Amino acid sequence: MSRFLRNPSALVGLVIVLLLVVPALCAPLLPIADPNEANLTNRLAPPGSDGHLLGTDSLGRDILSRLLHGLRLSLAVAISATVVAGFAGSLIGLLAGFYRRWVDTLLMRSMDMLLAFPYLILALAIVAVLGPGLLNALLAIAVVNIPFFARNVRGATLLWTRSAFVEAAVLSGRKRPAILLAEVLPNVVPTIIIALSTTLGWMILETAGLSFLGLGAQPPTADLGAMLAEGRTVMLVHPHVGLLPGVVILILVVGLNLMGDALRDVLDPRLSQGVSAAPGAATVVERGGARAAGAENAGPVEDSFVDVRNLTLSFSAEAEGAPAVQDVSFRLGRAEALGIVGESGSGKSVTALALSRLVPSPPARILRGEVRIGDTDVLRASPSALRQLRGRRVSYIFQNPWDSLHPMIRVGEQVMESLRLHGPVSRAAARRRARELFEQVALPDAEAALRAYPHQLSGGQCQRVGIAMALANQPELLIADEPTTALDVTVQKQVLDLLRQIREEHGLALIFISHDLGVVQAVVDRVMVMRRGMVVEEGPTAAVLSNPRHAYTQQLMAASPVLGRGRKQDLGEAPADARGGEGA
Amino acid sequence: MQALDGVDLTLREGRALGIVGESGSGKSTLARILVGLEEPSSGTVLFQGKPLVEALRARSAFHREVQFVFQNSLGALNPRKRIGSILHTHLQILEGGTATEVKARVREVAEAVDLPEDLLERFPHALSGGQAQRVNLARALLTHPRVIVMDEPVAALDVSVQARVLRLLRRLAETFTFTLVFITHDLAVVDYLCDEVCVMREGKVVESGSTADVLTRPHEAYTRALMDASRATSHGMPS
Amino acid sequence: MRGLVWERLFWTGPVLLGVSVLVFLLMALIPGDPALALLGPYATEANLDRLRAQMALDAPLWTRYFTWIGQVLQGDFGYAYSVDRPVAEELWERGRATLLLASAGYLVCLLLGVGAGVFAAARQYTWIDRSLSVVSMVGISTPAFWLGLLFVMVFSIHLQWLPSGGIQTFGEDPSAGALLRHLALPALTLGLVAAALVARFVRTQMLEVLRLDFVRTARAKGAGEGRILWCHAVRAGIVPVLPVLGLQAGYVLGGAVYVETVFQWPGLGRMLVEAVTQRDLLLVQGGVLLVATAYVLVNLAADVLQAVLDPRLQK
Repeated sequence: MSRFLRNPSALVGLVIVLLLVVPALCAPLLPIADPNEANLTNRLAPPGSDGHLLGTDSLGRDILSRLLHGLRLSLAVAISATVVAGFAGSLIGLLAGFYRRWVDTLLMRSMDMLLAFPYLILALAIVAVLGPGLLNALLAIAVVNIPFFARNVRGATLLWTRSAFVEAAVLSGRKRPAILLAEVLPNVVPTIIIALSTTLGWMILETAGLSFLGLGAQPPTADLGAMLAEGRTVMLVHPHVGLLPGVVILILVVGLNLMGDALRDVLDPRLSQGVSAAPGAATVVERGGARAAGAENAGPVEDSFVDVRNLTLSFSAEAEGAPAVQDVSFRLGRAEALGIVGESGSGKSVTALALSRLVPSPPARILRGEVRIGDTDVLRASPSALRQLRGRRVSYIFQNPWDSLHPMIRVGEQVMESLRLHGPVSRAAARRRARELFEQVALPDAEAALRAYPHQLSGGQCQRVGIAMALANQPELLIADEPTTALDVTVQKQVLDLLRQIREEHGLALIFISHDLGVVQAVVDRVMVMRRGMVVEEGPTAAVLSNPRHAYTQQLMAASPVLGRGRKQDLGEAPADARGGEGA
Repeated sequence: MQALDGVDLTLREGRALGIVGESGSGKSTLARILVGLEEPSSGTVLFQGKPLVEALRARSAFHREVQFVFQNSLGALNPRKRIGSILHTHLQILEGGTATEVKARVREVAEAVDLPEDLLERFPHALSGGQAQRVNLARALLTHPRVIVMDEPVAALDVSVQARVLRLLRRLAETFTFTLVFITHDLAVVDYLCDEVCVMREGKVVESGSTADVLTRPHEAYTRALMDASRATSHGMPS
Repeated sequence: MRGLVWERLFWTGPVLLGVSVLVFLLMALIPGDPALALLGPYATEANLDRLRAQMALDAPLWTRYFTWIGQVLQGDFGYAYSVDRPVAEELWERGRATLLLASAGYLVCLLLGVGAGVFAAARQYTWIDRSLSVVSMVGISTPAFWLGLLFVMVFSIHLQWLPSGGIQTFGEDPSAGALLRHLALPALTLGLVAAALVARFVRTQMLEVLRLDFVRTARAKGAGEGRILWCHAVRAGIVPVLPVLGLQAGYVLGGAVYVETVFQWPGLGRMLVEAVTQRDLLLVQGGVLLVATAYVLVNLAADVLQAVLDPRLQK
């Protein structure tokens, strides 16, 4: 609740709604005229005239009074219709989503029948049968909104019903109806609330609409839609009579929708995790004043190709917390291979992405440091210089092979795009080159693979496409971010062999990120162990593995069981502070 | 599509069996059949000599004896319930008993899996992956079941957290005496934890036997390939 | 793809059947004497008797349905007493006017809605995004009929740029230009309100897509932001929601009822309102059946288009 009130749009919405609803509720108590008291001698008085703050309509009735009473009516009808539709629709959705099979087919196919009508048309048909009138309009509007609730609630129910905790409840001996009520329903409630709040605004519009068409509230009842229709007849000379009810509807619905949006932001778990922030083109570099100490005299060092100094990066979400990457420095020569190892939260992937400013901003900000790749000063590079660096001189292989490729573009096209982004290459030439690359990464049937979409390939094949794409422009630096984590062990070995082979043939520099010391050592010359954004230990692979100096490295090595050591091995006691590290 | 194809397996009480395979091997489906979450299209599973279908007629009685631990540790906990309430309900439904008895037992088991008491008051989203998995272990242990099936319980955890859960598992196996079926893709974990191993591929059992025998003298090429892959990426024996 | 398209086509049959049953039942279940309800208060006793015999009121419901649907399939929707001509003739004339208005409105809705949504997502949290958000929030909260009145006041009465209503001015020769001038305001009213909803939806959708891994891959390849947005993100963002955009056609068809009333556009929407008010139920029946059928076909087209464009559905 407090989170809801801290949301600015919720606050604005709430104020708007209260400003309208409170006077409307108090309308009978306020010192205003009776809404139906006609006075033909004082017709169409302009706003501000004596005793009629907003003037009078064509029968001389007080517009303010009619507005407030109309508002009461609209709210009452809209809320009742929302409750009826919400209850019926949610019940249908819950049952369909939970019991699936024939229950689902039966209920949702009936909903499809209702959805086959544009909803206002269906409402018209219902009113046609029942006859015009406010109650019938209410019923019509409620019925046409049932499918909306049913669909939303069914979707949520289905999602939660498939989740592991529902199966866990089965293993706890819970009966099916109890699972629906005690396990699934509490998780579906936010969806229902969101749907209710979204619908309320529509209901107001729809009630007013039917009344406007003369099918809802009948004269002389004060109703916003009916007032609008009446005002239309005198629109030419007295526009306020028709405009005012519309303004009231608009403001009320804006208020309700603002509250609805805020409610959704608070209740939708995906949105509260900050899903809505889309990253920009490059990580923001923010230099609070001078450069970090020690980086002052940083010129390119002769033998190093990659030179990182005091790189510090923070995700603004954790405002006061420790930076995600803190004072990381390392160098890498041409044709050298470095492994960066660490557990989740160690900052290893962030470091790798930061090398070409691919860490999503917002929320990431680079606070200080230097990154040089060849003669490019990455943190000061212009957008176009960055684009020339990326994919041309520095390329990436990512962790999740399927998600990293565009799902709807043929993989051949995607490799060709890499080629054509960095120079004038004809389609035919790009295609020949893509074919060569596919053969080089040992994709079986390269010709067919060019025409495949990612979902038609296995994980290992997708990763080979990813590697082919990374190699397209013969980069000088290849950065592989957990490239085998999502793969099966036997496939992992093949991909590692391929990477090793590529290194030998192309003589490129390689940075290999992994959570697994064992995987890294198969490919790299040097390792760097990271923990909580800092470098813990760095050295030649063999030296670090045979004689780890830092306690954390020792613990990491002891932690994973080794095949062939059987039950004898002791997976090691965590150092004192590792327990704290595991806490949430 | 067949996830499993003619699988035969026998497991004696008190032993720990590791079922190893890559994706698509059917190892998870097998695990889910063993605890009654799925039904095989043909064939039978016998539990204590009785067909599983019969045992499942009395679901509560069956689940007192046979429990399951999910890979997705956080997903297996209802996000709208406190940890204490999740454990409490589980025991209450399966065994009944007074509130004090249930409470005492929950506390006892929570302690056995190193869960601090204040954690019982929390909601699942306030737990780390390792803590969530220990809650799942606690839930599975509450009724002192005879069999616990675990589906990749450490696959999603960081290595140091994984090590901690594995050590805990070995300790629990000694104090609680249950038969363990451990599903994993990692031969090294089986070597550390299990007496027997069963290697699966594409729904079929490739090879099975005592862990020591299979891992020192693998008969099948596929087992050898798995072992090679595991060794190639192990820091214990640099290649 | 074939499989999915066939499945969708296959399902259209039962849905249309269900629609016709529903429409039939709505009218068959009217309390009182259906013949009186259908022919209206001024019907002669002879006509009433003829209709009662024709509807075979004492026959079972399903025989009556088959008789009715058989006539409908031959283009015989009955006789509309309120306009004193066969329902089919009235539907044909009104239907063309609505087709024109609704297509124009739908076009405005898609172009503006998708364009604004994509643009706002690409410029998230800038003033452009914020003002588009405010505009679309006001848009989804605006009653279409009121916006229409506002447009008439501003553009027809005050500025006198465009005609205030009708499909042509009396006494003028019908020409394409004149038709467009009459179409402009109603189509804009209809399109704007629907576009607001589409823009909000598309923005959310695009923001989700822009966070996906393949967008990072495109950046890592050195692709520019414009290319990433229009070649990568829009494709992955819009194709999966084509069915939702198809559903928007329902919003446009519903909105057409208001807009046609405000602008005196001689279309199906206004016809339906008049028929409901005058309780000319045969006309209502025919009109609802026609609009629903059109809507089902639009949704079918959206689904088929999605199946053609999304390779993941082509298994």
